[in-house]
Amino acid sequence: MGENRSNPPNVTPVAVTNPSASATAWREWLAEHGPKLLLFARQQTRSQEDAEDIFQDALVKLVGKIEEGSFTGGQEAWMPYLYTTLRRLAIDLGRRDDRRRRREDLVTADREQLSDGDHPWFDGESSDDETRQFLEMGLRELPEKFAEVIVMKIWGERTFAEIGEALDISPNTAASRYRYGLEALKRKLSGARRKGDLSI
Amino acid sequence: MDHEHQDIEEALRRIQPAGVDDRLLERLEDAVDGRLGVLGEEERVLEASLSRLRPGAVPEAIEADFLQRTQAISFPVDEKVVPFQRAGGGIAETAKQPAATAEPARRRRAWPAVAAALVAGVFTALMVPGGKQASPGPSATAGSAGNGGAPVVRQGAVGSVPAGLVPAGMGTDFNDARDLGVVWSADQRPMRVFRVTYKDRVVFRDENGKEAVVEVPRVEHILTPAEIE
Repeated sequence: MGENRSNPPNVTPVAVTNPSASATAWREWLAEHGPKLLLFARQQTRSQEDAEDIFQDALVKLVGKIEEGSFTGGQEAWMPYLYTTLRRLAIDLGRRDDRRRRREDLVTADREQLSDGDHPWFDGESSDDETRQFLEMGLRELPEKFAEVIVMKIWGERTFAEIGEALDISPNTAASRYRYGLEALKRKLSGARRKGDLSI
Repeated sequence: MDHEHQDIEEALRRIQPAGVDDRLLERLEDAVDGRLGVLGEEERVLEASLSRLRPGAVPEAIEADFLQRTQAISFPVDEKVVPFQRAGGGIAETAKQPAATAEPARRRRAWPAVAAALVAGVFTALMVPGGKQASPGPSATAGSAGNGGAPVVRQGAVGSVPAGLVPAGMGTDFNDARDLGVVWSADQRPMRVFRVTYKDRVVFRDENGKEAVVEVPRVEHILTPAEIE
């Protein structure tokens, strides 16, 4: 259950100053939250490379603010900040790409070649890899406004209020998009379910 | 307004906006009633399937870059989360400390853990043979044959025992329990701290049967794993 200590802990609010412990804390933080953030970056961008770029940029921004002491809100505000930053970076990147493609007059087929089926969004387990592939494919093909809410809600574990804050929509709209997004995903996967390819 | 614009305006006034379809009506009702987040059974099943997927890991190059950038930055903590400092000062190095348990930190409601500790203490107080005996603590030891089996109160815990008085009974009362918040353990795991105050009682009796009761407060700190968002 827990451990009894007869001596009270010395509760003093300080940073983790031991270098080894601090490095471990950073590594553990990244291991826990990095995949969720990278998933959102993947959903917001058109390629693995773009996703990694904005993911890294967002982390650098956060670390920079922490280092200079300008980040307000404490550690619990890191994830909302990162989701909002990722979205803004993705929008900026998308606008730059669109301008470039208009200039370069890329055709649709060329654009499709830029998408990357070789970089799965989720880890695969051999026992259930087919389900993972169908779910991932369905999620990728969903309208962006549904997919981004689903990604933030399920894997990012954000509340509808936090999702609304990051996406600049109301919590009610976020809740609606989540529910209707799941319905849309269910319809998209219905063919595979009827054929028995999908067991859910 | 000229004649041409008036005609357009009248034509526009004659057309009516499309009605609200049933689906949108249902959505509006759900919004008003706070049911927007309520999923149907099939959506819950799909949600559960999606939840079982694990996002891919962070690429090594990005991880290495991040750790290099944060090398010189102490990992900050919130007011709600503080590092646990040992009695001798300093924070133990994670690599040298074995984990207290292999169980990952989980969200636990506060009071079941406290209640369990209290029940254990009361059970010990009531069920130990030879009369009531205080919960484990520094102030009492088991009875010995030399004094007829009555508990021996260790000097120092309750002060010197006057001549002629012998311990006649012991007990423990629960006084108070408080949630002191979260601290970091030596192996950098968040632990929620509860401060539980008991009152140990020892009853002394003299040769005439007169009783004297000595009460000694005792404080225990209970740590349980906590999950920090």
